[in-house]
Amino acid sequence: MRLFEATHVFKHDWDTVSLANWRKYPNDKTPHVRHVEVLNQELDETTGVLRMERLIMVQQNVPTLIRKLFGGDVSYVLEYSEVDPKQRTLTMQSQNLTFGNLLSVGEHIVYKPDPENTKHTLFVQSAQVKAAGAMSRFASKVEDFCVNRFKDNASIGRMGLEQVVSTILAERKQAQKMLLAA
Amino acid sequence: MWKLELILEEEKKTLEGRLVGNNTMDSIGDECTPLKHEYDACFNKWYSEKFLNGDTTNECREAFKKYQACVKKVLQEKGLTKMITDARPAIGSTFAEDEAK
Repeated sequence: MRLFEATHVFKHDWDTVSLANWRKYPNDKTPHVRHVEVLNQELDETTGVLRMERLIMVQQNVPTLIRKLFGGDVSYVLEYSEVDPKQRTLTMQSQNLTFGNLLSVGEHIVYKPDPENTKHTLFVQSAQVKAAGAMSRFASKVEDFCVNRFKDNASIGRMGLEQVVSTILAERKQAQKMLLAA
Repeated sequence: MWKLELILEEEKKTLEGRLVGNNTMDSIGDECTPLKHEYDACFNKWYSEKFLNGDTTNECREAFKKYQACVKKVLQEKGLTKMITDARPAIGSTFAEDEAK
């Protein structure tokens, strides 16, 4: 088993970053994320907490040999999130649905205001990669490969989120201009 | 005056283009895409304007129900339902299969 942990500070407020999280796909940086479906959503009217469940379809660009070995290049991820608007926290937990006989990848993400500067957002990400039975002979190699792949994807994902934040900020500016001009 | 109106018209087009244009993703099932776009637009507006400001009325519930029913059928046809149900405990999801809220 391998663990991957990373923290990052987005220099934007939590409201903007949490909205960008929901609007993250599509963005130019992550063309492998093909579909994101909301399966369930529920708002607890007493606590104000929003619960969301999404299914993510990923299509990686992999060599033909790998595609043949794995029986395809399409994989699915299930993700569960809770957003507490009072505490300003968004937590997400996800797990791969496909290729589970080969590999298990669980990811946990938290977005909250940065304690050192509450106008910024702290992003804490951790992932647990575990090669399954069918891979046990090559477990450590497979796990290392996956953790490295995860690291690359994590930084690409952060760039993708920044891009969506820029779009949101541009939209706000435009809307304000229109209001002023009207 | 007419110049200002022209500028406003342009701005409006750019803004609308951004809001409904390239920022949406299609559904796994083609027939669900219009319902998904409708829900996504509702959600994004509601989330930023109401939810984050402490408003606890779920305005997008109706749009979601329609979209959810459509996707559910597609997932069943693709044989993904069991895989999803089985993975729920691992991610701490408290949703159940027949829960439609």
